[in-house]
Amino acid sequence: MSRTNDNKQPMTKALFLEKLSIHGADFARWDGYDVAEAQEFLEKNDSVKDAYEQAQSLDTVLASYKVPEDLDVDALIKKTSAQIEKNKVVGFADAKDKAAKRKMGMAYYWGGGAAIAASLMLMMLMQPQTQTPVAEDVQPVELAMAAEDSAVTEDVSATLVQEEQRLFSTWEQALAEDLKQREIISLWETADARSTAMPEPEVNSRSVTNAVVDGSADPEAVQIDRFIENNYDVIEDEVLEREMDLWELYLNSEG
Amino acid sequence: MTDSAKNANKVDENAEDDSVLIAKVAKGDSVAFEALAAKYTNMLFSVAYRMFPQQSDAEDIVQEALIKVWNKADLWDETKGASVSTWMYRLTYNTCIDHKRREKKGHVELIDNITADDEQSARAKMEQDETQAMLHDAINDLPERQRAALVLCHFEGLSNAEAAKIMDTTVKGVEGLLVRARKALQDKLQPYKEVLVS
Repeated sequence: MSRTNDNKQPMTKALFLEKLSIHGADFARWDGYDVAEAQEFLEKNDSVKDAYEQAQSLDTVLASYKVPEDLDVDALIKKTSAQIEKNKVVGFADAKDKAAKRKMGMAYYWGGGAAIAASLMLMMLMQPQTQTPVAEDVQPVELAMAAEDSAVTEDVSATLVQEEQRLFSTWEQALAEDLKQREIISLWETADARSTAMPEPEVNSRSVTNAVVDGSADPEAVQIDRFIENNYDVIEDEVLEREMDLWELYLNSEG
Repeated sequence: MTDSAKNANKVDENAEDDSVLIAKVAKGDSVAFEALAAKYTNMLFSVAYRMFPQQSDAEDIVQEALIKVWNKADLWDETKGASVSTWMYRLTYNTCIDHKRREKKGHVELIDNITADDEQSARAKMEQDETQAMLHDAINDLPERQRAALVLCHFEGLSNAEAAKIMDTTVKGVEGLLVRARKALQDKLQPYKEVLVS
């Protein structure tokens, strides 16, 4: 908010008129020049007085342009809070929250995978204990019981194999989903880093100034075109188009 | 210095509090959100009203901007150099631009109703203070970026550098917009100057 700087140029008529056309007649608004210095220049130079008076009268007119003072701030904030509460599930903040949760969810995927692997190892360790006893060491009744046990054991083994296959399939699906999510989040982060590192749109200040002076072009139109070209998507949603694509891919992958 | 500029200075003094508040808002603290909103609503309304001089439109814009503050609080980054107030100005400015675009799109559909709208606005103008109506018209006729530069620098008392940050342009760009805005207003208000100044 400071109105002073260390690189000020000595005041000339051209500079005075330039500052006047930018900031108006209130010297307190003039970047880099104190009121006394500007006032002194005005008093010593009659040639700038007309322009100063014109600027002063415009400032007086603008000063009468008031904002209504009857705004009910509390009511507006309550209305906004109610709206936020109503739409809490919608919006990018929630999407980002989902992304964070998704990242947390990856730990569960890996944890789940580890648990499945551990249970499979446990099942493999337990299987030798279900082997059929040797025939010579047992009586006929025991043999009959053993035969029956053997049938049960085969059923159990088949069920275990099926369960093992099901668990492997679930685990593979979880890993594939995990990889997909990682890839999308990595793309998102790359896009985010790129957009952060993107330079501000360049404006050729010299050509703008020249155009203002000689009226050869409409620098504002050029600026607006460039602005819209570079920033349209940022203005719409604060998200660049390619980032939006990634978000859509990410959000669709949820279903 | 304008009242808004004085308010902005007060706001700067509390910049540290703002960063604490915005961090809490990012974590979903609605009490912190309401504190932040209470602090800045008048400031945002002042910008919105001067961009859209209909109180209901301006209130809608402020509401939309505050919702963006809630939804995007975690995007505010102190290290990027913008204060919370500048960031909130920027969200409000962007909301104004979005609103303007929607208004332009809507205008094509409502073209048959122009006569009715004109009558309504003429009645509204009669009810308004004449000076304010003339100023409304003159400022409203400015291209939106010229108007934004004038609102931020002249009425809100922000420096050209701050306005450039908010409008995503350069300081020279803001200066060019201000020169053209003041020139256009001077030309437009010239016939009424005696009435307006008296």
